[in-house]
Amino acid sequence: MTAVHVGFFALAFVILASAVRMVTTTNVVHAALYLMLVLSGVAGVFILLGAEFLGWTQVLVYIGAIVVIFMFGVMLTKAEYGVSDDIDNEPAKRWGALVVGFLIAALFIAVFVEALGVGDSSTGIVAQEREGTSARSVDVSEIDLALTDENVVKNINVLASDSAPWKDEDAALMDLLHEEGLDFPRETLLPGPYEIFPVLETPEGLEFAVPNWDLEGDRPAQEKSFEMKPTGTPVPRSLGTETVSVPVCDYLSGRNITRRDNGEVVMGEPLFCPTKADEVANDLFNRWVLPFEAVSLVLLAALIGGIVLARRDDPEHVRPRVEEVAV
Amino acid sequence: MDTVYPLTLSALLFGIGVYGILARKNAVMILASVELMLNACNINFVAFGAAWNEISGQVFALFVIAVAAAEVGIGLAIVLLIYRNHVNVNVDEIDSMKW
Repeated sequence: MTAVHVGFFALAFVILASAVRMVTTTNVVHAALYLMLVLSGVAGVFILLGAEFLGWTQVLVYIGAIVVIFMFGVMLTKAEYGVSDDIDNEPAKRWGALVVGFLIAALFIAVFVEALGVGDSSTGIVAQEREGTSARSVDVSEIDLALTDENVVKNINVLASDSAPWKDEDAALMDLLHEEGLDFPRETLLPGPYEIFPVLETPEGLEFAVPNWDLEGDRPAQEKSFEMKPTGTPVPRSLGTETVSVPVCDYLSGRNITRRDNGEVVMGEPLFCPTKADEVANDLFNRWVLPFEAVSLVLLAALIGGIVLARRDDPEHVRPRVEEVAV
Repeated sequence: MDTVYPLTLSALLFGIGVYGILARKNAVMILASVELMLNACNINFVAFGAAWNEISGQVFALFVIAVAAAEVGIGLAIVLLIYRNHVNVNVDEIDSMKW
């Protein structure tokens, strides 16, 4: 139970309790205020999930604008202040609604638990740097980059989940290594705390070595000094001989830093430390630029539509012109 | 954090939103319940994006926020028009288009 869990469960309680009150209260103004509480909680959940930019956008757009629009809607439709008995359906329909809502929520939860399982840490390959350096998650494409880069990471330690022996990322990693001309027997990817692919330096190039696993148990036979069995397929590239850790962003200094084995900390180039807003903007204006334009058109259409809808056309309600009033 | 927790939260929030849409008859309250469901979808986008280390989840949540803003603006304009013509905004009494 980490601080993130405590914060998440507190926020989840606030969100769900406010949402239930929002759909059950008979006071329309209170309902709008409960909606604001729900939206604030969701913004907090976004921040906990590592989406800071989105969380604050939620605060700006939802809490700052949409709740205010709702307040205007409540007031312009002359909702009674205080308790109103005319905003709910009759009890029989409400019981039906409760059943439908419960079934939908139960269906979704069942699907998610069935698909992901409870307690399964996370998906995606988690590559960890050597001990004593800071860890970060690396996906398959980044490992690909590391393998083809000049400053190759000498050892790639791939964390495998303890619970699931054969996961998709294992297969993905096997495919990746196959493309590199390295075929491992599937047994080498045993479930365990880690899998290690050491690199041997030979005159022809670098070779990946297969550790000598204890095939009966779940752990390698010798945790530290496994037998280096070259695969016989050297990678014909000039690869660095020094162990270089994957750079990690240091948000305090605004630079990416690399911690070497001897504890030395190397400061990288400045301004190569994208924040979440940078990443979102990069993705938004590269991969999703056409949907972005489409959404801008939708907003424009909504703007014009709102003006057209809200205009009052009946002549009785036309306000007198200024000059007529003056006369 | 385990991905299932935010997904469960979003499923419950979505269910509450569905209940709100079906149980209310005030049009403004129905629109507010739609907002609950859209937020549940956003939590899903962000949770899956965090689980797969994929920033596009957040981009799609941004799209949803933008479309929700448009939807709420248009929706409340329509509700306002209905109020002018029918004096109340109860959806079960708005049946002039019923054949």
